[in-house]
Amino acid sequence: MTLRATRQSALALAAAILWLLAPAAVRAAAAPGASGGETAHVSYSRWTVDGASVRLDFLLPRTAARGFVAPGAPLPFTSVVAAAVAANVAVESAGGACEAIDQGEGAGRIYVMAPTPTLYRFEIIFACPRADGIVLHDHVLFARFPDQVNYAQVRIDGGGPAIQLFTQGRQTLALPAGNRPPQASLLRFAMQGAEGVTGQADRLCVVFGLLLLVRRWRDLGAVAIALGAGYLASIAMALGGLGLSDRSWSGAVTGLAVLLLGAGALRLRPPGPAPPRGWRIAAIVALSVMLTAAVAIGAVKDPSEALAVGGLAVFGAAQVWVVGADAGLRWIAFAPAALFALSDGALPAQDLATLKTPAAQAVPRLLAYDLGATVVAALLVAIAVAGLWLAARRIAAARRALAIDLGAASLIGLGLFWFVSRIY
Amino acid sequence: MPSPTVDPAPGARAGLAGRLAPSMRTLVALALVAGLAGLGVAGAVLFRPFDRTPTAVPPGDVALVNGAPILTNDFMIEVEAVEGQPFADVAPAVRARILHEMIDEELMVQRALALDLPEQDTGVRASLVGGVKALVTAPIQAEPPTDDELRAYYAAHRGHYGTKGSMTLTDLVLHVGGSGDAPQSVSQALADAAQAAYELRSGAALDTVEQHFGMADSGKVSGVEQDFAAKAHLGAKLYAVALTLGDGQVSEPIADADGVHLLVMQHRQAPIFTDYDAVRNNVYADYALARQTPAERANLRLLRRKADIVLAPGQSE
Repeated sequence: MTLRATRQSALALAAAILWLLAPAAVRAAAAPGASGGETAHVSYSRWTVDGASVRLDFLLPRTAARGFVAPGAPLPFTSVVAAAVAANVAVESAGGACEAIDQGEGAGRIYVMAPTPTLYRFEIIFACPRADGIVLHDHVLFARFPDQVNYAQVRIDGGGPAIQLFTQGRQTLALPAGNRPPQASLLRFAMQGAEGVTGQADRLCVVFGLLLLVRRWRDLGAVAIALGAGYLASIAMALGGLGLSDRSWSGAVTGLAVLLLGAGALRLRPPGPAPPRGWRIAAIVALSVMLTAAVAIGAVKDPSEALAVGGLAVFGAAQVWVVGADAGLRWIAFAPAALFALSDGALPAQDLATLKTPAAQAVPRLLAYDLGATVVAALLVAIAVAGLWLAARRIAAARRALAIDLGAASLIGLGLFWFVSRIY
Repeated sequence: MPSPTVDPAPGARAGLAGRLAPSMRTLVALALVAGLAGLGVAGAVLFRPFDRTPTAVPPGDVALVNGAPILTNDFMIEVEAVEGQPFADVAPAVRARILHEMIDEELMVQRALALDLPEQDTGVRASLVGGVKALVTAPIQAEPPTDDELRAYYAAHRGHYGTKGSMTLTDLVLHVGGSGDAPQSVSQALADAAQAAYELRSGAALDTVEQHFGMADSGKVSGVEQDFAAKAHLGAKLYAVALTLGDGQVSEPIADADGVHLLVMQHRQAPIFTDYDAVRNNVYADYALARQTPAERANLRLLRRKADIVLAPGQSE
């Protein structure tokens, strides 16, 4: 096969893959969380099967309770949330439907436990006609939030806990005989990580930003290393018992990563007809907005969060400056990818920690999630780079520079918008 | 004597500047340190321990119930209030019992909050409202009024302390002006009314006088009237005259807008005012209430100013 034929085949393959991914990108951009700064919706459940009795502890983030009322309406009363949860969970057995029993002492069929600052907690006990053929049903909020994941922990007759995921596509779980419930496969977590990269507009922008930075094939290694390092750091922090103080920070950090990748792309802009001064203006504007946001957040929200925004601003300014300082540290341009991976990997780690998942079960699943996200992100960049490499041979240098300028400027704008809008 | 200065040679200046100017490597190192420091600060704020369930009771607390503290100070106050003796003198078993009860109470409060009782139970809401009012008026209650202030308040509101007065009277009126069967002037009416008063005081019957002089019962009062009711019905001018009459007395003619009146008092029960010393506690309570009300209103004005209240279409308050 000639070089020309190889190039044409690669181009066709890249185009086909990009076409396949296009609908996902459009769907992600149109998703409610794409611009509103919400991270993916989550809830938690613990199912404890003891013979013909099933106890369910359902944990629902307070913000998710808005899903039970019309958009813009105030948070519903706890009793309304409790009733909605009770109406959307069920247990079946081989002998028929299991009834939620009145727990007595005035508790009723759904016991409203003392809430935490961020979670509603409900307890329901199902009494089943038979102890075999148990099927768990969880339909809470999937109709309203299709992206929701319910992290579930299942125990049977005093056995060890198993981690499961309820999603829109899988709202029931049939339990086998014995006291060993099935574990959610590592592949499911890997898919979840992959969908995390492709399923939201801001994460696709991270990929696009990395694409603008990659100038040679070995840069792909730097992309993989940055993402891998960030994800591994998130696991290390989780093992150390540390998690994000607020899930919304993950979205804000993703916005910052988009911003910094755009700024880095401008800083490393290849020489073109116009002098590369754009990065200076972009950096000054972005830094000013971030510092203003830091002051504002300190005034209206929490001084410690203002400190965090200020720290991130200093990091961003230093990183962008060093990238273009011609000091042989070009690889630092990929540091925002590590930052993104750290904040993204912290989310599933936090979800598993909420269920007090043993480290022996959590770490492989987090590694699977991280691997899925890293591989897909690096793969997307590689495919796009291959396509661009083939196409760029016919594009003049001036047009390539203009395309990078436009792309980087778009990323700076989007990243700044996401960062500022999500810290409030 | 100043010492002479010597300009360094241009070459020497460049060397000095060169030595003082940081190299690119130094600048990059500084930027990296600054960036890492910024990242460290942000990380310290953004990353917190997962499990914030406290395992040890912090100083100053005697227990934690689902993370909510029971203050040692509150515990000591409760023990002393229940047992009526200094905390140090209370037996450990008794202290333990009281702590058990306080934990029970905290559990119940948390349960009430979990069930949104403040939003759904009128009794709980009333208690909360009372609690806020107590908070608002606490500074006022901390300053007890002097006896002079209480006496001044008593003097200004003496009518509130004692039995209410009442009166049974007839209000006869002789209409004046152009309407009616017997139009006459005010002076004529005054003369006739004076004659009627004389007849009544001489023992003439009320009916007879009414018929003879063409007077009529105004209908403003009937039966036994409390003083406040009589004042409202008669008007201030006639009521002031009525207060001066005793049992069986007849007033002088009173010219009013609708004619000339004669008041015939059948029975007068004057109000009996209770002595200040006998009602001091009531005066104290009323005085405190009178001072609290403006504070509560001021608090509500503040709350409304800070609140975002939206009424549904067609509603008003």
